[in-house]
Amino acid sequence: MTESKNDGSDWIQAWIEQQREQLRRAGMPGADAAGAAGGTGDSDQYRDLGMRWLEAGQAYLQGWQQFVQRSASGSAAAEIPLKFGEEMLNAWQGTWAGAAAAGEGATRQFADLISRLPAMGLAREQTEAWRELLAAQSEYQHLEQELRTVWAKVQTDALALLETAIRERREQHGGAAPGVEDYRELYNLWVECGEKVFAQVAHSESYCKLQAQLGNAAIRLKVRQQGVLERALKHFDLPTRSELNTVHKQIRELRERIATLEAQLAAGRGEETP
Amino acid sequence: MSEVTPGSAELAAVTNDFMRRMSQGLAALANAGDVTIGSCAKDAVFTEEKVTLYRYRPSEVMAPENRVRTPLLICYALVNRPYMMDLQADRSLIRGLLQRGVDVYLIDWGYPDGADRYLALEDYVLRYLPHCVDFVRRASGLDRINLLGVCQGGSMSLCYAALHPQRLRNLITMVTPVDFHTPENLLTKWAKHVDVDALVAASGNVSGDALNALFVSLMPFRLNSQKYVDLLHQLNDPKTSGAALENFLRMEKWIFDSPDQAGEMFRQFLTLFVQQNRLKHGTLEVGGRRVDLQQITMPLLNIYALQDHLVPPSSSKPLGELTASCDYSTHEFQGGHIGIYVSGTAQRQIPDRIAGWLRERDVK
Repeated sequence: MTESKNDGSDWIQAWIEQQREQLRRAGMPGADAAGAAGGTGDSDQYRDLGMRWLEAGQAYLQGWQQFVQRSASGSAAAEIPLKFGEEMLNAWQGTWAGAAAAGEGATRQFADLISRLPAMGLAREQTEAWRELLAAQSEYQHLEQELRTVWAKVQTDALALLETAIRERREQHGGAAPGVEDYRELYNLWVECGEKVFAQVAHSESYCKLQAQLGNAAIRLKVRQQGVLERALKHFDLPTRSELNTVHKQIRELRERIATLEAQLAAGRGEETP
Repeated sequence: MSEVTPGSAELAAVTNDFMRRMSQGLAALANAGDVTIGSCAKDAVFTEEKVTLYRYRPSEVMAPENRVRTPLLICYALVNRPYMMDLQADRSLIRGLLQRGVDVYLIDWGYPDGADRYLALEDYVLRYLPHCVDFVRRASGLDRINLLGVCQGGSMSLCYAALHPQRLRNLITMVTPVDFHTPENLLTKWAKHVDVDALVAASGNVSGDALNALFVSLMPFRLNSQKYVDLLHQLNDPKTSGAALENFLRMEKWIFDSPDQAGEMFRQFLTLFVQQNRLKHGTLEVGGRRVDLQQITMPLLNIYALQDHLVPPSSSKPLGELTASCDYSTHEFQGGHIGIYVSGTAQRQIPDRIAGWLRERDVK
C-alpha cells in the first residue's frame, strides 16, 4: 500500500526520481568505457581471454581422452563416433563462444597494439593509413563521450530546476496543491526547464568549443576513412572522389574563362554585363 | 519484502493514462494520408543549370490597372526549399501578394549535387541572381525591379543591391542576418571554432540532413520531443480537425526537405559572413568586387521577427545604419522565423505591409 500526501504530489516526486534513475543507468556505459581505458581493465581482458581459451582447450582434450578410453575398453563401436562428434562439437562451440564474447575487447586491444607499432615493410603505407584512422576514431569517441556527459548534466540540472519550479508553484497555492495537475503539465514544465538549462549551456564558450572540437574530430575521421577507401578504389581502377574533384575544378575553370571571354565580347558590343 | 515508493502507484496511473493517449494519437496518425504542397499556379520562365525562375500567374481578382507595375523577385535562402512562400492556400505569402496585385517571381535554387561542390558565392550573386533579375527586367520592360530577399537570400540580395543599385527600384529584406556577431546569435557561437575549410574539403557539399540536425539541436527538448507529443495529444481531441494534422505534416516535409549546400558556397558563407562578419564591416568581396552596403540607396524595407531564434532581431536591425537608403522602413513581426510566413497573424499583416509599401513606391 502506498502512502500518499493529501496534496497528491508524491507521484510527481516519484517521476523525478524515476528520471534520475534512468540518467544514472544511462551513465553506466560511460563509466565502463572509462574503466576499460585504464591499465587494470586491459590486463583483466587479456586474463579473461586466456581463461576462455584454456577452458576450451581442456574440453577438447577431455573429448580425446574419452574417445581413447572407450576405444580401449571395446564398448559399442557404433556409438563412439557419434558421441565423440557431439563432444568435439561442444568443445568447439565453447571455444568460439568464448572467443566471440572476448572478441570486442580483443579487437580493441589489437587496434591499440597496431597503433603503437612503427609502420614498416611492404604494407608500411597501408599500416600508417589505418593507424591514422584508428587514432582519429579514438579521438572522436573520446570527445563524443565528453559531450554526452555535458548532455547528461543538462538533464540532471533540468530535473533539479523542475523540482524548484514545482515547489514554487506549490508555495504559491499555500502548499495545498500538488503544483501540477497532470502528467502532460509536468512534461511541459520539464521541457521548459530543459530548454532553460540547455540555453545557458549552449551559449557558453566551453560548450561551443567542445561541440566544434567534436565536429572537427568527425571531419578528421571522415578524411581518414576516405583515404583508406580511395586506396582500395584505386586498386580496382575505380574512380575516386578526389579524381572527380579535379575534373569539376577543371570544368569550373573552363567555365570562368568562357564567361570572361563572353563578357569581353559583350562589352565590345556595348552591352551591359552582369 | 520490497518497499513501495511513495507515489509510485499514482505515477503508474498517470503514466498509463499519458501513454494511452499517446497510443491513441499514434493510431490516428497512422491514418493520415499524403499532403500536397503549394497553392498558386506558376510557370517556369527561365532556367540555368539547376536554378529555375518561376512566375506566378496574376490574380484575376485584381484589375490590371490596380496592380503594382514593378514586378517583385523573391530570392530565397539556399538552406530550405522556397515553397515555404506558398505552402498551402491559407498559408501563403505569395497568394497574399498576388491578391494585392503584386507580380511575383521566385527563384528556386534546386538541389545541388556532387557536380556543384565548387559553386561559389560569385555564382549565386554575380551569375544566377543577376541573370534572374535581368530576365524579369526584360520581361517587364522595366530597367529596375523590386527584390525581396529571405533569410540567407536576403544577405545575398544585399550583396547584389550593393553591386547593382541601378537595377533595383525597391529592396525588401525578410528575417535577414546582417550582423552575425550579436550576443543572441547561437549559430554563430557554435560556428566560431569549426574548421570550415576542413569540413568542406572532407565532405564536399554539406549535407542538408546534417544542417537540420544542427537546427533542431538549438532547442532539443522542444524540437525533438515536445512538438510530437503535442501533436499526438491534439489528435486525441475531437475538436482537432484533419486540416491541423495536414498542416503539421506539411511543415514537417518543408523542414526536413533540405537541399545539400554547395561546398564552396557554404565555406564562403560560413567563413566570410558568419565567422568574419564581413558584410557588416564592409570588407566582403565577391568575385574581386567589394560589397559596400553604403551603395544601397534605393528604398529599403527591413522585416524581422521578434521571437526569431535563428536570425535574432539584433542581427537584422543594424541594416538601417549600414546602408545609405533614402527611404528606410522596418516592420517588426510578433512571431518566429517560420511563423512570419505561416501563422495566421502573418497572413493578415505581411502581404499587406509589403504590397502597400511597394505600391507607395511604384513607378508612376
